[in-house]
Amino acid sequence: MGNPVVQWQIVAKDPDALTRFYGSLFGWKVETGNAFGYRQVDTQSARGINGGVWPSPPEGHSLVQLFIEVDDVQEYVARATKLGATVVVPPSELPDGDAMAIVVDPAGLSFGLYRPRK
Amino acid sequence: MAFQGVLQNEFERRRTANPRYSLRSFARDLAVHHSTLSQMLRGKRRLTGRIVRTFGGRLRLTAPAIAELCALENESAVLSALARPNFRADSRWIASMLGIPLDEVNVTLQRLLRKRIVTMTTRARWARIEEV
Repeated sequence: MGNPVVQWQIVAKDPDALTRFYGSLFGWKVETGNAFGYRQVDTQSARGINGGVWPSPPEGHSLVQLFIEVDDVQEYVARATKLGATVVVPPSELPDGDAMAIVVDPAGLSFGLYRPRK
Repeated sequence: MAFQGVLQNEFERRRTANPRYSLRSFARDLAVHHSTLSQMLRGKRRLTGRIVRTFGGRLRLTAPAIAELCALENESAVLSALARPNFRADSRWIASMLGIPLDEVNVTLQRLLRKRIVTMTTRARWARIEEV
């Protein structure tokens, strides 16, 4: 199966404004009909990957994260930690059945470990 | 809860400095009715982010301190929602129950996960760590 990058995520202080910006620029469509009201972005292309926009805390800064698909989030968090990563958001089961965790790699870049709903 | 403590401490500080400084004096300085302030000091009225920002400014707190106090009040509110018997693992539901914007609910949930205060163990179960 490998571990593909399956999604990008923009973390933004003003998610609505940024969503409008990319929607106007590229015609990307945004869907929020989920338990978090998460802004899922469909780039309207069969190529590349889709993404999402998440709010940043007031003291935070805007950034982009990549989500990598794994079959077991817990296991990959443990592996990443052994290799020098730190856990920001521990493995969590999301209301729609997906699971994810956010970790920071040894260079300080945060990324997501993601397992789609079974 | 955090901002309630800030208000109580500030009121005590002013009373110590001036024994004639009353609850009405404090209410006047915060531009709020004294009965409303009394409820806030006793924890009988929820301190929303808007109140924290307004009073925080009047108390000359720094912007980062106000932001942190707002975040702590949101944490407290979201935790209270989690404890409700009719709780639904749904940010929209929490936002509507608490009157907090959806993005603030999501930021708060992420803070609670980061701080290991809340865990999401199944798609429908979000709980305080000590309850797991």
